[in-house]
Amino acid sequence: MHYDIQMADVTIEFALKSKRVSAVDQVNVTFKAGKITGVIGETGSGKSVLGMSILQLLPKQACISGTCFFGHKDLYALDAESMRKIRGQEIGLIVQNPNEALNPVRTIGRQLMEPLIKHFDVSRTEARKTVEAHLRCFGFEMPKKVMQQYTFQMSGGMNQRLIAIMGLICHPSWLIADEPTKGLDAILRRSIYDVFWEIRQHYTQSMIVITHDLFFAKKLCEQIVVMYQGEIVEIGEAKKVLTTPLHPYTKGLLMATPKAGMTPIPDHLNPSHESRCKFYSRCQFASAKCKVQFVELREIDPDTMVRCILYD
Amino acid sequence: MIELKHVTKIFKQGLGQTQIALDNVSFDIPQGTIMGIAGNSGCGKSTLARVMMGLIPPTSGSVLLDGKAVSSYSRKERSQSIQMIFQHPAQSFDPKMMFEHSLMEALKVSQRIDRDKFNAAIREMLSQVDLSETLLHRYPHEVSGGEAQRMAIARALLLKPKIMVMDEGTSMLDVSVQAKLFDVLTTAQKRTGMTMILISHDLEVISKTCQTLAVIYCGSVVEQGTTEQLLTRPKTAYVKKLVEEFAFFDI
Repeated sequence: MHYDIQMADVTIEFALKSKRVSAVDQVNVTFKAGKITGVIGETGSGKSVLGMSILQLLPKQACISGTCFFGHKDLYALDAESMRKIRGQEIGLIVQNPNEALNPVRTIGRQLMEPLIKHFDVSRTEARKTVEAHLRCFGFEMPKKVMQQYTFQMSGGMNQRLIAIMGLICHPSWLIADEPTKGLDAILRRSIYDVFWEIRQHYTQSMIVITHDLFFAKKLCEQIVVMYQGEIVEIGEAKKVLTTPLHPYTKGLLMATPKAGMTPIPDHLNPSHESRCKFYSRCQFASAKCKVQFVELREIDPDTMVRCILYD
Repeated sequence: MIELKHVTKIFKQGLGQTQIALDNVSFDIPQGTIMGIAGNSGCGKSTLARVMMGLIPPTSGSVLLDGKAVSSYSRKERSQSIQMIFQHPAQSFDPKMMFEHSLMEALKVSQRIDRDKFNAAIREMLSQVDLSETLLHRYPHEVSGGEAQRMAIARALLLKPKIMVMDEGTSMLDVSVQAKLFDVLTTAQKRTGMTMILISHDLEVISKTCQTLAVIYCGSVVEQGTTEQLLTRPKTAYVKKLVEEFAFFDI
């Protein structure tokens, strides 16, 4: 049974020595099962924090409020043992930067067998067979040899495939991928797209892809969630959001792409204290209405939601 | 003008094995131009940047800056002539030093002017890269990646270099921050007439900013020419593949 991931009134703050820093602010979103949803936004917009909170992978200083329902379970309320059963088995994670995430002093076979042994209590022989089958499926022609090798003996693309296998080897119904193309060159980026396509065809279609790569998101995802300073500012069908965006921030992001001329989003157009809208100070479409009225994320059509007074 | 003449760099890897990082690379970059260097991860782009900076010596061949070998420049002369922006902005700064001290240190190495002049120069540069003066009293971990990278650009520009090398300076940043940085850099380039060498695997960024382009594969330059010519009429199979992979994700 594939469940949606439903987040309601999610606020995440980090308690630092002298202050509390808000990373996610009153987020309400449903990630629909069977769809690849891309979460985009600039560095520090809270997209990774939101994604990692689903698996309770945030540092101790994080204070989470709100609910995140996966079926009947509130993932935020689960204890460590129950959460361990969800991770990998029901919701898999493909972390960013595989070269740092993989263990350089353990063989690839041992690392890939570990989730199977921990979650399903299978014998080493069975785990080995399953890993071999997955390696073959992901284009490794000599799986037995690869299992005896170390990750530093692999190329960047191979390690990305290994980290993808690790995330889905227990056949979770959901996958969360954090910045899968960050810092990669064009050829590796294409091979990552092929890996995700493979996952989509053979394993699961329910994915959350956290990325700032708009081109990758448009090609891979069906739904897009745009975040700005911890808030969701736009949700919609991927092609629509990335060709005819509604929110001024999404428009600005697209204008900043090299293809559109690399026009930066201006920084200090309006005094930020005048409005409760977080994008007000950088917004080219700001008006007097923005100062007196605050708009929540609201539905424009059944697939599209936007947080802007322009569509009030 | 910077000239590379038959530059080869071979790294020893133990057990008698060697890795050829650069193989007989030669090209000239006239003063005031923006040149792109593209290629896959591990093709030798960053080694090339370090050799050009004089940070590592070539195994054979030479790098000439205005007709004089880079290796013969003193540290002070080199810092005044050529500056580099690295991929990870936070790692470009000493984590235990506030930005103010990091910027001052750079000025102290290159010239001996008094503290008041330092302060005035730093504040003027911060306004050019659109950063608030309050950031001067912060540590590298207390600012965003984009702010740290703009601070790195400010530090490099403070020394008024003739040549600026940017090694994947925006590959870890999102499009809005990337656009902002290039706006700052190209404005500074037009104002000062410095030469810019942009090392990147992002052909879209290169096509927007660079006049000429060299593509490197396994340590060798496989194609070189104007950016427009290479990206629209590539001759080699490798450059064709690079262009195709980018076109695949065309938005």
